[in-house]
Amino acid sequence: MKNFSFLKKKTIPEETRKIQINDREANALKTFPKNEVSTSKYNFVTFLPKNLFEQFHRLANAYFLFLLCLQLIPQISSLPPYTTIVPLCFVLTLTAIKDAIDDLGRHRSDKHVNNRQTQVIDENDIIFRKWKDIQVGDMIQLVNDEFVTADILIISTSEQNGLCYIETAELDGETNLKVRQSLEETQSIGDDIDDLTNFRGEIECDLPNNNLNKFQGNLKWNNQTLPLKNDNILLRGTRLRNTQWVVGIVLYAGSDTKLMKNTNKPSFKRSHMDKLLDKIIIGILIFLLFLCLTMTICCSIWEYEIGSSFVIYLPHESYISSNHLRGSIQIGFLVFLSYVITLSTVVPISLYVSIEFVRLLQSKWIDWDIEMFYEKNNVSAHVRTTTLNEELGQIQYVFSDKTGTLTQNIMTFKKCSIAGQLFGYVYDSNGTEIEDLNKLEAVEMNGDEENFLWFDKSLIKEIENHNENVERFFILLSLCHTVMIEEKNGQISYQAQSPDEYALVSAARAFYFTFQNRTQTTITIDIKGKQFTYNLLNILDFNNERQRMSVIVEKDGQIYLFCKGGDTKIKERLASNQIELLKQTDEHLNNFANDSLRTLCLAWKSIEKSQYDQWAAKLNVANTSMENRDEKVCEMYEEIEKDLLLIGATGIEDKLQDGVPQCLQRLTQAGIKIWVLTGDKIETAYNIGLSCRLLTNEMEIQMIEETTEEEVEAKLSQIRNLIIEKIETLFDVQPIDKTQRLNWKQLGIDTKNFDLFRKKSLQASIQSDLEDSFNQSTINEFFEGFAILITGQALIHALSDRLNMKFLEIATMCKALICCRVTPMQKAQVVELVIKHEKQTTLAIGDGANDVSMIQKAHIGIGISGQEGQQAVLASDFSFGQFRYLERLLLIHGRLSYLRVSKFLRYFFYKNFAFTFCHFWFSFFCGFSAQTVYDPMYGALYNSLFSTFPILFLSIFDRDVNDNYSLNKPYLYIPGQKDEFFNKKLLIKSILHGILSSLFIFFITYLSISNGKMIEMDLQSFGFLIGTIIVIIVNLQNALQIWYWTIYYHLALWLTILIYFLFHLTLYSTYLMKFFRTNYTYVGVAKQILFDPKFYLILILICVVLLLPVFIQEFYRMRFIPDETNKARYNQKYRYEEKARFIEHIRPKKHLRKRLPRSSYAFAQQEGWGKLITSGIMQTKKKPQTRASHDLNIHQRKSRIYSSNLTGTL
Amino acid sequence: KVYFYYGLVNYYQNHRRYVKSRDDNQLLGKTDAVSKDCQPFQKSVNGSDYTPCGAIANSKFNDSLTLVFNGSQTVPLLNTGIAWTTDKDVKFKNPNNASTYFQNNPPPPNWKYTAWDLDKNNSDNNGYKNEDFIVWMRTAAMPAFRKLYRRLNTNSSQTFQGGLPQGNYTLKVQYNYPVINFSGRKQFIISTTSWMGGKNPFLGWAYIVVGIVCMIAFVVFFILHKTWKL
Repeated sequence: MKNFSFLKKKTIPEETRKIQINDREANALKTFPKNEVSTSKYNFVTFLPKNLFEQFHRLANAYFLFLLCLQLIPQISSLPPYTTIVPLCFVLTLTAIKDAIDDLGRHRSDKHVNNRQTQVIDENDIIFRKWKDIQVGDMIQLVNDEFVTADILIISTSEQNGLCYIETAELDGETNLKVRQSLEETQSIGDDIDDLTNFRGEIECDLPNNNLNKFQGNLKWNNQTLPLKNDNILLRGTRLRNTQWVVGIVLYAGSDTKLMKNTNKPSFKRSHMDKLLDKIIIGILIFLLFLCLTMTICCSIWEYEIGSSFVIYLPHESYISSNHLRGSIQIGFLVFLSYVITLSTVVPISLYVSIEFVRLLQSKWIDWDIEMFYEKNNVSAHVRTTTLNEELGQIQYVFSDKTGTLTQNIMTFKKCSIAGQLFGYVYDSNGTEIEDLNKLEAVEMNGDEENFLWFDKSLIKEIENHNENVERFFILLSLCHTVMIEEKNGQISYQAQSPDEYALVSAARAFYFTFQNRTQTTITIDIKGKQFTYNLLNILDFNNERQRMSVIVEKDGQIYLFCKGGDTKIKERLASNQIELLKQTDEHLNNFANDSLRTLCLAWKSIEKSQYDQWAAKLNVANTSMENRDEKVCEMYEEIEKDLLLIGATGIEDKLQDGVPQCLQRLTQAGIKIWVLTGDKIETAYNIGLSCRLLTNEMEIQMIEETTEEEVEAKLSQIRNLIIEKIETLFDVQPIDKTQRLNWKQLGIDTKNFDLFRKKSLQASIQSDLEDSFNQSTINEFFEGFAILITGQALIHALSDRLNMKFLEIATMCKALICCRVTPMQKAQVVELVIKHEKQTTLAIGDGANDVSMIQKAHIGIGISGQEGQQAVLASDFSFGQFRYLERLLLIHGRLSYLRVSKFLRYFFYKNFAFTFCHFWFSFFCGFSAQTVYDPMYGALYNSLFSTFPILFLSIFDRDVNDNYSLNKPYLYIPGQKDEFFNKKLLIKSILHGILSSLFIFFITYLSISNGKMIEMDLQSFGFLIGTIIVIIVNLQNALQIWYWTIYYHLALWLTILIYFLFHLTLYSTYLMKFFRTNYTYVGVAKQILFDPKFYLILILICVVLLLPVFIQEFYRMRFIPDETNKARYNQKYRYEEKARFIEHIRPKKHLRKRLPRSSYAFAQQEGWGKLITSGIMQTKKKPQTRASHDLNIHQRKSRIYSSNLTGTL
Repeated sequence: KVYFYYGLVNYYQNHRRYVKSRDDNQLLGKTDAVSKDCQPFQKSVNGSDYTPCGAIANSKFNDSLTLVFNGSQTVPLLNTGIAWTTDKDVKFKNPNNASTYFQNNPPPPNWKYTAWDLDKNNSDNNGYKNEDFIVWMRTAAMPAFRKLYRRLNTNSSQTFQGGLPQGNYTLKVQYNYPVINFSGRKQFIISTTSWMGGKNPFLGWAYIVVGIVCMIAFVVFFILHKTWKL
């Protein structure tokens, strides 16, 4: 036991970090990392070896290196080594250049971050230092709007009580401000430069970790030990807001910061196609070995039977055994290696480099897409990882952040209902609602609210008429909140905890009910130019349980209670005489909900003085009670918040980004499942789900809010049963086997069109007696699938090893899944769950640093360059300015890239097998000696010069239908998800096609040139003849594959063939002699063949024999079994669908009964600042109480003056 | 025009080791040391290069074939104009001082005499530039091949002005070239040529079949296309 405690003691110091404040020397002894961050891979020296090492890690490159080694052995070399060296060097250099450029970019961005400047307090002075030079233990001073340099401990701030405000958007995506506080004990130091310089002490804290919400430590200072909490530190990645300055000590720097600990090292992403390609290549290599083995056996037999007697003209080499059998086997084995070289072209060396080149150019389409240019922020789409294009055409799951991704994170007051009257709707002269308000001219409002637009003049009129209800409505809005005021250049600006509150208070200001000031006990508002001051008696703050907040104010001896909150909560508390009004308001609330607005109900009452005093006394008791204080206080709140009088309701729009609903709808139609992972509350998320049509009223929506594992498990099984039940009532399916995993596919239901699979009997009865049974009507209702909302709490359990499969089963049955209140890590976990167990292609899209982990985890990460900094963009593979561009990226670029890459790969294997297999056929005639048919030069250039350009241009320019078609027919995306354009089956088909082509080419040529089984032609001519025919066939075959002819393709195709001839005529000409003093061995061959009419006869014959079947097959497919893509192409050409649509249009439609719209009310806010306000900690900010902050604000070049000012004031 | 061919069956002129075993630079008249490719016919025992080197040259077909018409008249044959002009003009050249060169260097072991003795009557057809040699050096594509041996000299006598007249022909073979041990066979072919080369029924038949298929396909396509309603 003693031993144990001894050990324990010893280990403690190693488990914590000890920092000497303001003591660079002492800290230097410890090996704390500097604040320099590095994301680059190479430096100048390591580049070459490291890059080469990485490149040879690639299967293909290693394979070719191995081939090269084989070719250097003369005894087995069937091809001169230059046929491999040249392309290999080319490939290696190209890749190396690309890697170098990529890494330079990383170096540059690192440098940018590392060279940012921050103020350091050093030796009675404030100096600027680069971020990379900041050390642990340094004391630094941050100013307003500055990014926090490292993880620091707050010593003092400019604000009272040592508060400071930070924006954590880059860390967790939340844009509302958060409060951090310095230690009470150290706050008094203020910004006195001497005191700060002499500040000595020791901090003991956790070792660097990635937990954003946990921090423990102690500060030993002035002989006292002060405990440090998470509240006392500022993390790198956050941004200082509304705080003139903060002085702090660096605790973790550089790679130790929690931000960096949360960013996983970016892993190299490879597309599915790449991985499949690796498998295919291994498969082909095995096939190759098998071929070579066959050749070995054949060769041994041949040598034994024939070769050994042919030795008089072709003696064996001296190292071959003279023993008959043994010699034959020896030769056979040597031939094995020779054939490995000869047939190695089945795995084209240029495949990887070509495919990467194709992708690079394809990504230029994305970069250059003007439709994806976000003008407002001057952001164009950018491809950051160019190797994933075709993956974009295969996405099955989209994981999206909400704030800043789906929404703009701007809330605006849109509609309201006051005393049963609806405002905010604008009607034209016929009385129909005008939905497109942009064309209207907005009513002129208070100039302080520039961005506020209001169109309904009737509300203005009511205000002018001093309508009592309307005025009370706005007074409530300007009183009942916890918004803080900040004055900047004489302008009042509001700081709210939630954007909703901000929207309401701003709206009130726009209508000239301006919230002007608040103190601990008063609220001043300005109504149409007149100031009124209310005494603030109580703030009955918001919390999740209550879903409402109230204020009790007193003016002119009258006490009022103003309350706003979620409709259900307010409804319960209304006085009994409000039923009539409630009914009307309810209707309006439904209207709002249908318009996807966030709604709040407003109510008030006036309180008798005596009644209030009584209640206040009781509240005081509750407030001071030691046990269950919160509950008791809540009870008291309940007591006073009753018999309320309804004023009305507000409708706030959480502004979605443009085109989000349409984009989501199209993606859903494209068979993509969309899961939203958000840090928001469940209600907010629900609302957004509705407003972006991710959730619809016709969906079966379930919420999982349970907190314990058992409850979650129970809920999951409950939902599962519900799903089964629902399917069985709605659909014509076999009784479901409850033990098996649910799967739409197995049930035979296409999730894109549920109606098709509805019970037939019920479908028929839709028109018949409607009043019949209740049951029937529920079945006849619309059904659009299931949806789940789950909270972060529940998700912890749902993601546990025990429940994750259950969760996944249900989640995959759903059309939409929304995870609320999730942490960055959970986001990544959800993505990982799908990747790991569903084996499907995922895409994550987000804009904040909190999305980084998910972006990195998913197969494709997309960053939206928004307001929340660049973290997400830097971690992403693609970036652009708006969520809606996702549809273009996936449905157009992704789909086309997939189509093109598929065609590319299919064709590439086809042409290489066609090329290589001639060797195979020839081996039967040349004694299996691994003699190549072709000129080695032709072999070396076949893949690069004679067959590559058409396919390259095809894979850059080919398309099936135009952009509009792609967008409007999202189902065209589905083949990508199902790997329909490139899979093993199609690959084998292409390979067989290649083999067959080579067979026909070889034997038709052979038969055509032989006279009575005797052949006059020499080997060189024969090789050239076959080679020429292959080049022409293969290129024409490519022309049959392309769907979209452009002038570039024409050029590529015909020039390739032309170049082939020109090249060979030159190479085989006698002119070379003049320049090089030597002939190419094939001299004269081209002339001999090309002037022989037989060549053309053979060529035409083979063209017809090989291309006609392909042509017939394509025609047959188009004519009799067209797939969706073919149909769409045909459609586009003949526009028959437009005609069909017209006919559809004039046919009467059957009507399904709609479910009543589900209303969506929300009060989305965190627990407010009520306590801070009433306790006086947080006050209205007056004109900077801090001394020299003005200088600070102007700019900080004159730090010297500033510091002298500082000392002067203290 | 009448051509005379010799044919060899089961003779692997397209074997990799065979094809490789030559030195084109040597045949171009360069007198540098020959390439290793010629192994094992690179150097003679005393260390000097074989002229020409390599297995192809070594195995040159050396039967002499003469044709006698009606038992008495030897058919006049030309041993020039049987190789490709490019080969003759560009690819094969004799070294300077050819006669001494060929005398100083050994011929391949199978040869009875030097390359300079290939055609003593015509110095332009001698040495590496001997057309029989050039033809042999252009290795055949398949193991059953024929090579142009001679062409009819239509100018030398009245009888053969219009080709080979009807009658009895006797082929005299001076047997030098053994093929028995690898069960090879020799042939002697007399042939005329057209613009399409020699006689070959395959192409004709193939064209007829493919043509018929194309016509059927055309009719079927046409009907299907016309009846295509969407």
